[in-house]
Amino acid sequence: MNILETNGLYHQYGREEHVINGLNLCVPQGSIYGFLGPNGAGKTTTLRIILGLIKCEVGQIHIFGKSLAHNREVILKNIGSLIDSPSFYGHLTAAENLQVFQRIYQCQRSRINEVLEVVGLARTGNKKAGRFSLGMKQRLGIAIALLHNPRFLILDEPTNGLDPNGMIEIREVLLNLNRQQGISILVSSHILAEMEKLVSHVGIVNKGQLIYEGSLGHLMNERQQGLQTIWETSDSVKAMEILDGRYNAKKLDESRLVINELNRLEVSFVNRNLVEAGVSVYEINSNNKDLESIFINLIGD
Amino acid sequence: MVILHSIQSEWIKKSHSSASWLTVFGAFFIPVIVLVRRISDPHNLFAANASDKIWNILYAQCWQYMSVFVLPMGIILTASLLAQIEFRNNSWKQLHTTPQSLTVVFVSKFCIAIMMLIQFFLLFNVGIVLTGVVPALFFRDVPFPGQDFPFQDFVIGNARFFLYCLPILSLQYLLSIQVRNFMIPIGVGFALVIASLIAVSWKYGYFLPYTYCSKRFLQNDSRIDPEINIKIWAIGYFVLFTVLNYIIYIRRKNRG
Repeated sequence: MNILETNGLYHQYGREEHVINGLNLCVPQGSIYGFLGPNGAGKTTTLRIILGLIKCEVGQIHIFGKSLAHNREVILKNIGSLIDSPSFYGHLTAAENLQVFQRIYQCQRSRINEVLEVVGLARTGNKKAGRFSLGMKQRLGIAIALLHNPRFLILDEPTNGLDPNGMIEIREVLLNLNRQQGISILVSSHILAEMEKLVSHVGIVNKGQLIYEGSLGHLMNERQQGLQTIWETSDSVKAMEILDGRYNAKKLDESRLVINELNRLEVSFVNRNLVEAGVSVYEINSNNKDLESIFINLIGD
Repeated sequence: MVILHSIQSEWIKKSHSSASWLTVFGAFFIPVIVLVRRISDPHNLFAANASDKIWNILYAQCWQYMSVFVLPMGIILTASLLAQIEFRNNSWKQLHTTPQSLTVVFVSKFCIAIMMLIQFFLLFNVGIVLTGVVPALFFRDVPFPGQDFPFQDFVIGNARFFLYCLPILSLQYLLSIQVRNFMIPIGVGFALVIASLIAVSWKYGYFLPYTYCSKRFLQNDSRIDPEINIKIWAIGYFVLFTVLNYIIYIRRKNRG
């Protein structure tokens, strides 16, 4: 069951080209879904459309199995969001900011202190939110999103401006919310190393189109099969003769050759063969299987 | 109930804001000036406070200064500052992702603007009362105002001014929530106040709603057409600007 589904979303600003181009997203219930893409790919615009901040002109959005167009308020009651930079009232304290939203959501007053504890802002007292550091502002934005115990969180770059400790804390908070309370999370970020530690599913968007969607594990496995090793040698012609058609090696130029899908043992075996046959090996470069290199490969495809 | 919760939320939001401070300072601005002027002329205080028209005199003095310039400018600034709470804090987007209909958001915000105007009127009247009472507290030989307090006259007079303010408030509120740059509603409002000072005694001056407060003091001017019902015009403009504002707000494609 998907908590969010979009079908054929299109959007353009004025007469410019489409920033969202037939986007079909499926966010599984109970997942932490990483929404990735380079700057200008259409991530924030997509999240704004999903939240009804931008009018959806073409396409359908279903959240909790209901159409957003016809059930906006019912759906929003169960969504917590942080879009772009955090929104709060700078002339109010953290607790007063949460009071503003507590009145609207009509949740328990005790939730104010609970969420302030969760994000580490419980001891800010009478300090106005406008005087908070960037990290504290980000935490307050997350506290507002969590206040009413939403079933689904939509967070746009939630770790922006946080120091490494802050990033780890927020990651732990999100993982706990997901594991202990079953809250589904849709999170966009450009910090890929951070996303790799957080998400269970990914959607990669480029130029308004979804170029990959699925579980993170599946993406890693799939891309590992396409792993390449590039060899920088003293003589690639001689190296090709030594390999004698094995491993499907291909000559790139006078010094370099490329071999697909080698495991670690095979890399060491090929290296020994070449060196023992008198070919000097200067560099062995395998493309990594971390999310960042997979992402860059996908975007570059 | 949803609207009530939304109004409560908006009320918390405006606390400690520049708009709420301006309401307090603006309301006491003219009474303080009138009071200082009275105290600086202690020889006439005894006779003035003993007069059986003292409240009417103080009411007329305070409202005359207030209605021509300070009140319209106060409304212009307050409406702008109120809308700026969302623009400056980049919080329209958070507000528009709360489970409230757009109508509720619009109405509750506008209710706060009207409630602040009522608060302003109440504080201003407290100020008028203080201009009469404070000299008696500070000078032993100055009596408390001799005239019974004319509640009914004050209520009717205030209600008229309140009605005349509504079109200004609704137009300024329209400009303030539709235009992000706060200099535009303030600039337009200021220009219209200046225009109203020129147009107030013009026979077609009633087309400009900013003239209505000043017209109260020109009732006997031969250039003012007695057939023109300013109250109807004020209500008409108020409804027109509010409905127009609502339609533009509801039809907006981008909500922050």
